[in-house]
Amino acid sequence: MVLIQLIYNLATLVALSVVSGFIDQRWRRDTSPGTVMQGILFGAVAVIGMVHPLELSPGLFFDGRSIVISLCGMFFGPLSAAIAAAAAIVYRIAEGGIGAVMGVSVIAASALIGIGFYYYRSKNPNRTTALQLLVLGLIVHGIMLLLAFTLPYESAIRTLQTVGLPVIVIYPLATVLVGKILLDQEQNIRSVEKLSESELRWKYALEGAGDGIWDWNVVTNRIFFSTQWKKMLGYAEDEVGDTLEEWETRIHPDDRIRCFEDLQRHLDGKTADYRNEHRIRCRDGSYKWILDRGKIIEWTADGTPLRMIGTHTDIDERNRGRAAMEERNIFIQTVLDNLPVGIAVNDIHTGNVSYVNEKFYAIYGIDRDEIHNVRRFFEVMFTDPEHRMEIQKRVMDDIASGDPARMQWDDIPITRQSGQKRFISARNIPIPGQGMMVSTVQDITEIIQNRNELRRFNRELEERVARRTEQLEAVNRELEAFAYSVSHDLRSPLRAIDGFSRFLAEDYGHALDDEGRRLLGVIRSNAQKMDRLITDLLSLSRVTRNEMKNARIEMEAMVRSVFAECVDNDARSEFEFIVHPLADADGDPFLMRLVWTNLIENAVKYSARSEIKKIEIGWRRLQDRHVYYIRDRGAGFNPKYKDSLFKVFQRLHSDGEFEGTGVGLAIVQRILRRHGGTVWADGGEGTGATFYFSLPAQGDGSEQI
Amino acid sequence: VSKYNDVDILLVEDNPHDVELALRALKESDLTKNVHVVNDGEGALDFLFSRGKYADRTVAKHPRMVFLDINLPNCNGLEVLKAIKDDDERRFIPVVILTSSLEESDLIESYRLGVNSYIVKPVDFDAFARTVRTAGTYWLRLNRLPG
Repeated sequence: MVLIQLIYNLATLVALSVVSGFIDQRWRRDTSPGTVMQGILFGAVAVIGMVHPLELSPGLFFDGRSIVISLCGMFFGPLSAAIAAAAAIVYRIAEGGIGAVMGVSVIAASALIGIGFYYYRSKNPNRTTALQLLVLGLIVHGIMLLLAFTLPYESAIRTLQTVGLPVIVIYPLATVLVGKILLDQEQNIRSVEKLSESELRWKYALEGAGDGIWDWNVVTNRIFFSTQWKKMLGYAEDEVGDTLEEWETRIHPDDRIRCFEDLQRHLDGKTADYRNEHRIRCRDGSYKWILDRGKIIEWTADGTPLRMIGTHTDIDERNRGRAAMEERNIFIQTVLDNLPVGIAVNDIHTGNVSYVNEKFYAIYGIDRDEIHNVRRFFEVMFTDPEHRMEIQKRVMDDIASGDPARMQWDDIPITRQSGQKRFISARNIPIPGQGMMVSTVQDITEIIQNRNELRRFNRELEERVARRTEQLEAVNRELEAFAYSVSHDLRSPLRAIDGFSRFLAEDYGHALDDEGRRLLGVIRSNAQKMDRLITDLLSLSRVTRNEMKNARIEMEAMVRSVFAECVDNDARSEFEFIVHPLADADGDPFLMRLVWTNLIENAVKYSARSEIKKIEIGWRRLQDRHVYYIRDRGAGFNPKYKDSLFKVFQRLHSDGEFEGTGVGLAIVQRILRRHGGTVWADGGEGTGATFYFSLPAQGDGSEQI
Repeated sequence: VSKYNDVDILLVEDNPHDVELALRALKESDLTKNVHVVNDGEGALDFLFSRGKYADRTVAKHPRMVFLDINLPNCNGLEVLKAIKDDDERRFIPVVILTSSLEESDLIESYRLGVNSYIVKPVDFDAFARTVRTAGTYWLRLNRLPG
């Protein structure tokens, strides 16, 4: 009977531990709802145990309350123990009887001892052992037996005699049994908690790093995509389902095959993990580069993959950067390879060549495989060791000097391996921070050839010019000699004609009639006219031949002095001579005087028969030229022939009207041409003429007018 | 005594017509009758330095003036001028270049050598006669020489 009741009590205790574990899973014991509920549960079980106690004699009950309450204290702490103990104490006092004092004391003692063990455990978090549970049981029940002495002495003795041994043997064992169940449950819950915590932790870590997570059940083909996984592609949480297609269909078609191959290799157990870079379509239709990494973490018993987890890393920016850099590299490479300049880069210390463009090889005429090191390059290019040493030393010295001018070598003759001779221009530029040296080289053979050709051509040209100049000078000398002989040789006969005509008139005049004397006069006047012609022609040739002596010319003063010189007093009084203020000019004063002399003499001469004898001289500025003019009211000329005015011997009036040789205006034109100026005329028959001439405006004074 | 000792004017002129013109102009001027004409530079130098056919001429008796053409056969007028002006005794003889040449270079060279006058022969005989007369009057009548 006692055994059945014991089993009954134990069963209640086992049931308690199961329910307690259930509560613990949902309301954790470190939260106050958890501890309160555990306290209520344990209190309830203690009370249930007391309802069907082991009744030794009326009013004397034994039950599992000590076990229940002490374990409650040990596993769930003071609050749970207090609630459970309070429930049991209330019930026990309500029951009454002689054992009431003892019952209450046992409940309180069990609670306190359990709480003591609770604190001991929290200070010693090592695994709680069955031995500890046994010690708890022995202490609780040892004290319980001692508390029997709160009963009247005989009752105490009787009680100890009847239940003393079973209590001190069975109850501690029961405590160990139930405690162990609770302990296992507790450890179970803790390890589960730990597991989910670590899973959470790596998920947090990965998501925190910005990676998206996927968790694929290979058998059901269901796949979990993390929020970050979806966000990376621009999706909200509920916009992506949980099938593998969600991923498969978004892979860029060009990347799909390689991606599946990598995945299959891992599923087949050929790779330690799965890793693939591919583009994946985002919500907005664009593609994004993803680094996809994963690993199978569970297999079925027969080794079939069951679960695989992995991450998505956004490498779009990195890949775009890399693509941009590759593009840039290709661009630079293309430019470098197509430059007409050879480029080589080498390490200053080791001499190892890190880059050489095609043109470099082409210019030096060497094979690409030929040089991997600067030393080898020098060996190939400079076969004579002494010369090679010299060149190398010069290169190093020039670089060390830091003088940019010394780093540039021009017009260096080289001999290609084929024996072909070329000229190059080379430059060695150190990049000290990187320990590198950049060498550039240009083939300047053609330039030098052209330059030489040009020099030769120039020399030839100069020689030719010199020859021509000499010839011209010879011709000029001849002309001068001719002019000299003209001036001398032609004059003598003229003088003879004139002189002897006069002798004839003087010595034999009486023998001649008037007509005879007139004919002699004609002879003499023609001789004199020819003399004037010769004189004018000579002065015309002198105008172009003699060297110019330039000076500042005060035009107004010159004009007045010329007028005074070539018009005698009587004629001067007849003329109205107006000179407006004139700008100064630069030129040869002698020649410029000849210009004014001719123009003024003409104006005077052709005004001789006119009513109005008026000469007006002035000037205008016309852009960058000074234009001077002289206007008369004389005989003028037919404008049709105005271009003939300046031709030698061209006259628009007969000698009968106005005497002249037709050389004066030709002289004027030549003088102005030599000064960079021009001359032209306006006029009409009988209305007078205006002669204009222009000179380049120079000097400061003229600018102000 | 040489007939050449009393020459007032030495006329150096190769062109016979010019000689005639000059002589006529001098005759009209009534300056002197003692004019001697030589036709080339050699002749002029022989005369002035009493050489050749003038060897018997008294060396110390120089003409009072020389009319000298530039263009002369063999030794030209400028060389004659130079010989006169380089000679310590004869450099005081007034030398008047009488020429058709208007060349600046002739003018410059003549003055460089120390010519006393440079006259361009006018073609017009009246002007020519006037010029010769003026020059002769000046050098023979107005001008004074040392000694």
